[in-house]
Amino acid sequence: LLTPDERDTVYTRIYRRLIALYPPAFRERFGESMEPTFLDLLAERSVLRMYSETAAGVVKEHAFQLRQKSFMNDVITQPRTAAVLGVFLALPVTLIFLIAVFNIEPINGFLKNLFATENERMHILGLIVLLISIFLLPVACIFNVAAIGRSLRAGNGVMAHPANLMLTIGLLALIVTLAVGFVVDRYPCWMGVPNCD
Amino acid sequence: MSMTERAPLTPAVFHILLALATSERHGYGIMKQVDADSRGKVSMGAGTLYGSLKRMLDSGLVAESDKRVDPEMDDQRRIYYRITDAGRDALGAELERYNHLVALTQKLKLHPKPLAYAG
Repeated sequence: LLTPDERDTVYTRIYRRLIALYPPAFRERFGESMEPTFLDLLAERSVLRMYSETAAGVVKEHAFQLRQKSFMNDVITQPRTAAVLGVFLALPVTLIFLIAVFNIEPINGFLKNLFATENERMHILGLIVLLISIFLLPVACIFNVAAIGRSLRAGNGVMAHPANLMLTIGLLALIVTLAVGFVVDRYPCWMGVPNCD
Repeated sequence: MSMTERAPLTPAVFHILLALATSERHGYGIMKQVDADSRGKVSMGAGTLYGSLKRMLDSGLVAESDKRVDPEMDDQRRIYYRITDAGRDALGAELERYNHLVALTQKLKLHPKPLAYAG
């Protein structure tokens, strides 16, 4: 059996290990002063309770640090960041769309080759580029809707961030246009019309 | 901004400010005072205490005190904390908010019996 002093030393050693799990900045600032507090509390509380409280604190501090650094959080909380990111995310589809509509050569020729179908199947690279480009649209839309939603909850009007609003409307219009275009294009095939492509 | 327009404090921050309002204290001292102030109803863990202290130091509600204990008498590693003027303002605003709520509940006769904390 351990003497009280030996027991405290073992408990303190384990506690130090727990403190070592805190983010470095926190550990450097509070680590040393947490130990005497732990020793004082050892007489009043169960060691398991203190370990679990400290472990919860470790998780909380890491989560707090992540939230502080989180780019996603910044995107959602800062309407301007969401708008800028939204523009960048919508750029690939917009460029593909504009190049196709205005027949801008030689890029249009390159894109036609990329997205060309052979035996009703698109080249894998073209398919990946197309799917990623299209997937980025709703992502951009969600960022901006979230930014507007947050602004509304903070008590601002719907026109408080016009750039986000315009971008969201534009993105929704683009998504609807693409979806309707896709359905109109594929509908004959779904109906079993031969040589529908 | 008036005092009442501040965002409400979290229970941990409120109790730490209250504990430091009368004296400079170290971590364990704060815990003991919180326990006494709340009549044992709030038992703060070290993780919560130091996490809250970090955020309160960052936001200027508390500051590290110059007070150091006699190394013969106590552990030199202890850090004492003191409430700042911003901390007193925040505590005052929170107490004002509580007073307003108590007055409101009395007006609405929502607590006919004396409050558990009263007296």
